[in-house]
Amino acid sequence: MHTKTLRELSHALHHKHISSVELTSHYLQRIARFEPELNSFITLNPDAALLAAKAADQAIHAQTHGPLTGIPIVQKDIFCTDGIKTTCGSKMLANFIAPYDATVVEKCHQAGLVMLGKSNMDEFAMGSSNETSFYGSVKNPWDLSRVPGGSSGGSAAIIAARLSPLATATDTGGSIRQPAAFCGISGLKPSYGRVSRFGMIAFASSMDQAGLMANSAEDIALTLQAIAGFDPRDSTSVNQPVPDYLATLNQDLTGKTIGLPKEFFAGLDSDIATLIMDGAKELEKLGARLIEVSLPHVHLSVPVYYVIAPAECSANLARYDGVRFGHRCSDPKDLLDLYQRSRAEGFGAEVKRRIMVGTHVLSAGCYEDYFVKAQRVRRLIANDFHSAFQSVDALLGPTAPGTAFKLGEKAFDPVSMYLSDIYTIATNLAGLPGISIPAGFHKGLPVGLQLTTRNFDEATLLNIAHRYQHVTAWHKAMPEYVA
Amino acid sequence: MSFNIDKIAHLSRIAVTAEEQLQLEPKLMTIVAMIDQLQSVDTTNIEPMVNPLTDYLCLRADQGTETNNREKYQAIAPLVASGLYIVPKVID
Repeated sequence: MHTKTLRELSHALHHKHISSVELTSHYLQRIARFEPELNSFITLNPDAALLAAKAADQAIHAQTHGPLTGIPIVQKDIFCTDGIKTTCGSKMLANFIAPYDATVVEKCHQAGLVMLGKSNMDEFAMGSSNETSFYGSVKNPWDLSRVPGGSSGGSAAIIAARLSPLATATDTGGSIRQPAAFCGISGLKPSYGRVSRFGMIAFASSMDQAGLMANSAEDIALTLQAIAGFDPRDSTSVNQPVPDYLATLNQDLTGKTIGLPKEFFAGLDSDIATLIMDGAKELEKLGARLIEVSLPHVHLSVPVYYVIAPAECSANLARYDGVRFGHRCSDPKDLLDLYQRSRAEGFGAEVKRRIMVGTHVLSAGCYEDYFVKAQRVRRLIANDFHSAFQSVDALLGPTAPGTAFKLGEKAFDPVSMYLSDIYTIATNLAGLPGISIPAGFHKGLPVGLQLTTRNFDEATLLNIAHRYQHVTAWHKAMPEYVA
Repeated sequence: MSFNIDKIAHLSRIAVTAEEQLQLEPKLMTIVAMIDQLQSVDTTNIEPMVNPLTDYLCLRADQGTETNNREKYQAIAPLVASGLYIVPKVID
């Protein structure tokens, strides 16, 4: 059952070849078998999942179901879930039970999806390896000595190990696409504003975006349909109609122009470059035209990001003060001591570093020179994309500079870790949609190909990815360990 | 750019021990050196970009939409009494 596509599962459920209770039990059994080694969940929810599956079966019986009714999903532990613990990978929120559901969670419930649990993640989504989680590292199912990527490492490992057909994820600088690449799965970061951020714990509010992970672009298209759209509770969500993603999924690629940014290939590992170019040639065979383009400021993405993201994070995480919710230190001697020790004890090292860098770049004397300067360079980077999209429909390149690295390999060198997001960050700075899809293997480890399109053009992104997956089988590969 | 850890730790309201400070300093300096690359970029006449979607920001009617959920919200607080959040004494 765990090798079927979402469309096949939906057909089987709605024609009563299987029940949602059977399907959910199947995945729960797989979780029980593989989770002890993978550590991909923070909270498991088997009893509630089976109850939801039962309700889904009743809806199917009553013929009040939708296309996703009865299909299991895992929520990244950054999404608030009413009555179920939401930790965001942090000790700070170890006992936090949100008093409401995030809009994404609410929409998943409305679609009849069955939540299996909450996935492990880097603390407050700050990390590229899942090693900053207070709840321990997640292991990559392709090689248990390696990281799954981050920050949505739990969701990525869950999809790769077929512990769920669907998972939500979030992406501020590559946190969906980079782990998707490391784990050999498909991961979509929608345009900024396409999916509500209400109830999604904030890290860097001008870049945070909710998205999806699954085993194919088609599975993502089906699910994006259910979670995309305007939300009056999120002032940054955009009031634009959601197109029918399935209607354009199979469109011919003839006439589409795909740009290869030369900066993405300069200095790239030659074996990875070959795989990415093989992917581009497949699209050319399908009718697309390939041209070289330039994004002249893209090399500045990492320094821009590491000014803006910490600045926004330092403001967003000021709310964790030990007063209204979250960790509180014991026996505070005064209010300042309460704040300082609660935060020192509740946050991990990477989160503290980012808060401090952010506080620094926002402090008197640095604000103009660093924060505002970074915002100006951000516009230059965004302008490069807008210029490129005058002549192309999509951009294609690698998702990450390498494959999954060893656990601990980059843990003590933050800048080296930050550079693993070098190809994904620019998309967030510009607010564009991006997808990572499997494009082959290098020394037995998955390599991801990244596509980016114009704002709110997820339809083209999914169309190109789907056509590619129609003629390739990389997305069907499964780690032997979990077969 | 210099980095005064004591000052920044205070502004961040994060207690940092002397031992942590020793570990933090080289890492923060590496990050600062990396972001210093931006200083050499010519940004004359370039408007800062604060958000990818400034044109679309949606305003809502100035009407209350939330109901009173004090008990539910305070159920997750570290310390409450009589509907109040309790903190150490602030005024002598």
